[in-house]
Amino acid sequence: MKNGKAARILPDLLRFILILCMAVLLSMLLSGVNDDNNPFAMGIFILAVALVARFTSGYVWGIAASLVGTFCVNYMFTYPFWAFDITYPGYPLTIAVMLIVSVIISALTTQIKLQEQLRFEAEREKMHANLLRAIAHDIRTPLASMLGASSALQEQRLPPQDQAVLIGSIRRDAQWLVRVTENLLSVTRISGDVSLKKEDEVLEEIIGSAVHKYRRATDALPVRVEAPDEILVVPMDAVLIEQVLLNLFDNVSAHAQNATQIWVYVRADAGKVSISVEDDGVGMSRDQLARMLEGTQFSEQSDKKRGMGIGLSVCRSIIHAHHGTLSAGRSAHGGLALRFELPVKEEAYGPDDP
Amino acid sequence: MAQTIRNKILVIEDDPGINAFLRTTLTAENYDVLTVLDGKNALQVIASHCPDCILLDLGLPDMDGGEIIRSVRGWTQTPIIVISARSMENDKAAALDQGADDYITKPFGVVELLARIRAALRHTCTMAEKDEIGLTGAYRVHGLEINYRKHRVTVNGKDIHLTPNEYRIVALLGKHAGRVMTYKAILRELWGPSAAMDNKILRVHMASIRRKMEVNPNEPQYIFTEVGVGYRMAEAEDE
Repeated sequence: MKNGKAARILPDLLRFILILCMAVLLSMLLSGVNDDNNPFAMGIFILAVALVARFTSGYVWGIAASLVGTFCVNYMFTYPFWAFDITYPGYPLTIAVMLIVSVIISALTTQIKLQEQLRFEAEREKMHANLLRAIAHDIRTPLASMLGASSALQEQRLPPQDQAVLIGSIRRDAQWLVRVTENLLSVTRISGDVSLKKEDEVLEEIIGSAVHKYRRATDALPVRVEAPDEILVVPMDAVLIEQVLLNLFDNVSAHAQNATQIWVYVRADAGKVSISVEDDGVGMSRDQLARMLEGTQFSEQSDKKRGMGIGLSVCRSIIHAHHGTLSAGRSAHGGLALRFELPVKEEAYGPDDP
Repeated sequence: MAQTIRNKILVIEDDPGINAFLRTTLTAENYDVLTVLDGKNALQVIASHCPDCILLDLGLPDMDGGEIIRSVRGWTQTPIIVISARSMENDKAAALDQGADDYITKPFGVVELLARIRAALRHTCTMAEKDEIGLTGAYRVHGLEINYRKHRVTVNGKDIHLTPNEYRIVALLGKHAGRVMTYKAILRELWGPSAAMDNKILRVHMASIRRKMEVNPNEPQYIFTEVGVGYRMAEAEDE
């Protein structure tokens, strides 16, 4: 906060000086036209005070401007010119008017800023509340099923094959909860004040690692990666982009009906790389696609089927934080194609020894 | 390896649930299991029981995990496997650089855990006796062979033409096969502690190595990437 204040002093000072100089100049120009007692000078300076109060923060600058303004009007633009005369009858009134104007405008400005801040915070609160609701919604079902299954295992005498089914379901639910928490952690990693931990990564390493991790899941589909032979170096937060890929793979396993295979296509274009995760499942209607990408789908859907709403909206925030884009379309294989693009710095890398 | 003498494993973990899970699993696998809940007790137990392998949770309440690693490394080479949450890549890398042998990310499955423990125990055995590389002068996994005497790398009998630096990276990972080597450790081993090499150059070297050795560099079989931490050479046990 202290730093913020210090950083604001200089621009405020510049505005203060600029506005007052313009007022003096304008008054001087006009006094050439009208050589009388310059009735307009006071008006111009009141305007200047109002402007200073509006465009600076706090009361100090406005009050200072009104003092300087009163002095200027008295010294330069009222009889006797270029002399300071306190006996001038309107003088206390001038000071009072300017002070009042400056205080009122400063107060208004401060209040407006405060209200903006409050509105922004309220908005953020609302977003957090929505997210929390969506999460609670999403984790309640698997938790209930885990609790039920484990109590059945403990309290009933079940034949071994039934036990195996229940244990399998507990494990799947737990795995799903792990994914939800990983996604939440990723969100905190981007939404915190800490900026991304970007490093120059070789893209194939991240894809390779994501595929390797995905294969360990119980319901994993085979993944085929097709990428150009060149070495693609992309600045990114590797852990987060890996999370994006895992979410997209999980999305296929969870939602693409009849999908038998996942394809990952990597393309390098000028200044960016695009990575497309595609499947040969049933796909989605245009409407569903749009809703899914907007992340508006999470709460309605999670009762029926575990929504990947959180997963995809996390993908979107991660990619946005990288200044990239996420889009959806139809795959040539018949299913869904989710494509994201990341910007690349233009540089040439030699693979060989320096 | 016939296990006539049971290996003793120390679990340092403050969460009672995970503690119980580890104890049950490891006991069922015929290990002797000791568990402690905090760092102070851990140091005492290590000194008095001399476990064969240590599982260390990095988030202990009373002590920094790094402190335990350093203090243990002061007098013994007992393998230490660090247990940590994801999104703590820096902590993992730091733990490895401080002398931990391997890490496993929470949540983990039994298969993965047991594989890591077996790998860790195997490395102490091979270090004590003579390892495969020492005996045959070569490291082999799947179709890959690194011949340390001839400085030659072959895949399924075919020569792989690596540059000197690339060979050094592959050779180093082969010597530590099955274990993660951090970027920092690799750079330090190959170019010295003050080298002006950075992770990016290492990554580009690795990309070039993969283009020569792997069928598809996007799906490596020999050298795996541990995102944010380092690299690991495949071991015969890896699937």
